[in-house]
Amino acid sequence: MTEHAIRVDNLSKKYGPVVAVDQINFQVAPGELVGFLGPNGAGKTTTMRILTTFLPATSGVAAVCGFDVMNDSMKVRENIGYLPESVPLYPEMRVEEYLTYRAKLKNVDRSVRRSRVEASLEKCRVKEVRRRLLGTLSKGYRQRVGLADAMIADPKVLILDEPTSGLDPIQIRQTLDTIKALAGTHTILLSTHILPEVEAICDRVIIISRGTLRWDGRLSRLAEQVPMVVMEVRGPGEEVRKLIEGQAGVKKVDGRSLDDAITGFEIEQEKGKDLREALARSVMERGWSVRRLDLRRKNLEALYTDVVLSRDQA
Amino acid sequence: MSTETFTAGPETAPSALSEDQASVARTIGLTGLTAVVLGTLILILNAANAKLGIEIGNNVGFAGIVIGMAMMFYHATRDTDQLIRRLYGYVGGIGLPISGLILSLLPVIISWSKAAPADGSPKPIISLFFPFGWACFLAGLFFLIPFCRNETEEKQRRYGLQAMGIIGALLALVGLGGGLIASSFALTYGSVMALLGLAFLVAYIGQLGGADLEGYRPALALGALGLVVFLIALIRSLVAADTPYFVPAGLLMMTIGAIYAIVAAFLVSDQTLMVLTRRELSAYFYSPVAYLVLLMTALVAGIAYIFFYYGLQRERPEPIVTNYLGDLFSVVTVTFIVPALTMRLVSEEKRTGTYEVLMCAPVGEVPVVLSKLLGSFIFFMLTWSIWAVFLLALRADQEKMFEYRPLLSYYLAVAASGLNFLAMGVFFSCMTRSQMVAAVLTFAGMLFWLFIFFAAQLIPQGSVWKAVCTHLNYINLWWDALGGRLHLRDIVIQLSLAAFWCFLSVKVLEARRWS
Repeated sequence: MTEHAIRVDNLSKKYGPVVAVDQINFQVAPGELVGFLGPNGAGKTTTMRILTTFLPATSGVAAVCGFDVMNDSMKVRENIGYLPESVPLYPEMRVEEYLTYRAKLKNVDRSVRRSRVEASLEKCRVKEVRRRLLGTLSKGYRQRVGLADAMIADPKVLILDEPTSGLDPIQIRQTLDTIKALAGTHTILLSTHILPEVEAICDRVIIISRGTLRWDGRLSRLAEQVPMVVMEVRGPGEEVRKLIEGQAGVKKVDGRSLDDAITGFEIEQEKGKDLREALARSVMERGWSVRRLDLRRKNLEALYTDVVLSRDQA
Repeated sequence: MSTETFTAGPETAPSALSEDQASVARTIGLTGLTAVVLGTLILILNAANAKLGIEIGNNVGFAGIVIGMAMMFYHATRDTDQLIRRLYGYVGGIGLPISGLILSLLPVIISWSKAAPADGSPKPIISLFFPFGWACFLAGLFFLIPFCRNETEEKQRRYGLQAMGIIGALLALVGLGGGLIASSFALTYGSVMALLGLAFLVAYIGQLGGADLEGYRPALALGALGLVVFLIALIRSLVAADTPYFVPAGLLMMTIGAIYAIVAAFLVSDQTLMVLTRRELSAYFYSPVAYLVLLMTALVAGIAYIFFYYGLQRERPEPIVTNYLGDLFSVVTVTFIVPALTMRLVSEEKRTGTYEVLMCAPVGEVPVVLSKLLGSFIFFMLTWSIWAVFLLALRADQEKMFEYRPLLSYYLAVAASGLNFLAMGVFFSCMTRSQMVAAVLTFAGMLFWLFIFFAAQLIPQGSVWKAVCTHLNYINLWWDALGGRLHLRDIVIQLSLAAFWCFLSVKVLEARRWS
């Protein structure tokens, strides 16, 4: 199946008795931009290291651009750009010198090397520090030099481990813009802890927790899901609940008491309906008052919390 | 606010913390300055035939200068104050070469302008290029490199670079040109000038950002110059003349031309091994460890040289260099410098994580190991050349001719066993993430080699083990080489051990991909 840029089949990695990654499966099509989420220690970095051929898998198969990470390690490395989490750099080299050195190691031809280095410096906005020693750079610059290094050879697949950590809010936006511009022509696997970032640029999201894959889907699909009605009513909780449950089109009601006399409800409704007005009317008719009435779409944060927490409790 | 309309200003303050006062480095630097001043004083007083209460030879002065210089190099690389670094850059990096130029040329002009001797013999032309001029140039280079590296102001850096390039080009052109014209010049001044010029030019290209950035054309020019010199020397050797040119001057010039071309090829090569080796080598020049190693070697070699010099007051049979290098001084030095040079190589990369970045590029383990070995080997041979520097002083100061050919076989033997030791160090460095552990293991390895030497002495005659220990230990190999006997089989043993260590290192690194 060479049409996948990244393919992971039943991948497991054990560090002695500790299972870091447990039987995960996913595929990424060429040109896709995938957000790779999970709590600390979930196995994100381990999975990425296996994909970059730095670590061997305990079992299972991983392939990048159709090349097996174990048997065709050189071919895989020719096709990836990797930004490790802590961005290790040689402190005694200059930015420009380092990027040229990396370009040579990645077999960028001499005729285009200079222009590739310039393009990377430009894209990652590190031009103004091109002569600085890497050891004297701030965290934000180090991060961007690492990103420039990852994309210097114009690889088909980019694996970025927390590319925005340590950046200030404006740099984060600029870096995300850079990454987004690469999507389409490049396959990008991006890990991060900051959910709004993922929502801003990725459509596809993979969530892993404790080494197992918990959710793999598209945020656009999430948006297509039927929104919930959120309602807060002043009145006797049980009676209000019965009233709402009796309403046509209501699938499920969750209620909990907020104040002395106020009860909050989360109401799942049938597809294609908006029950807000009908609900309000019937509540008002009984003489109770409505404090809040709203539609809530499931967002990534809710999904993430659900996925990570619910399974943890299970 | 959209990112299009907002442009962040460049960051100015680096987050990295550095010491405000490099007090240790300054102490070392000041001590070095004192040593240089005292050494120079001794030379001047001796030259003026001052009658001192005690007799101090010029050689003590030389040793003082070399050791003091090494201390000052160390300080020049370490000081955090921009002004002090600039002071070193100006006084050391530009003042020293200029004084070298004056010392080399002024005596020539003075002796030229003097009247010819009455007996009609040719006028004696003297120059102080040996021993002072060339040493000034070399020392100047060592001050220019850290200056250009650490200078933050672009304009100042350019001045340093231009100085480096101009001095290098002048030395190379005069040395090579003169050497092609006159055989006698080639054999004395020409070759040393050409090699000095090469050192300057390589540093210049390196500081321009290597052969990929601005250094590419200069590097090509360097190679072209080497080829031209090689060809001219070849043609001149082939053309029949009254005095044969080929041996030794033609051969020497051809070798130097070839060295230029090879160095240029090394600089512009895109081969992974060469790219990695260049980085390893330049990392040495920016790390304090390397300067400490140079300093220590200079100290030990200086002490050994003083002992040797006083020993020379009595008549010694040739080769006299045995009394200098064939001593435990060099053995002790090598025992310490090998761990110092190799401990960092792989362990540091593993600790900081740069190893992961390196291995995620399409680079195999074999070039990585070989580049570490090759880089440390080139630096290792550089530290050994300090020993030879003192011998040049002897030759220049005493006008003393001595048998130098054993040095060639000696350096071959040192190179072979050096490869073995360094490969061992690389292996231990591959094993661990801690520099200290790597250093201790390598040091233990070096002590083991020393132990074999003593075992060879202690085991009674006739035992097989005596033969084994004699052939394995490097000290006997070195001392025999100093006597002019270079045993091929012992060299082969050292080289095959080096290959063995490399093989193990590669396997240790490859194990990561399977475990």
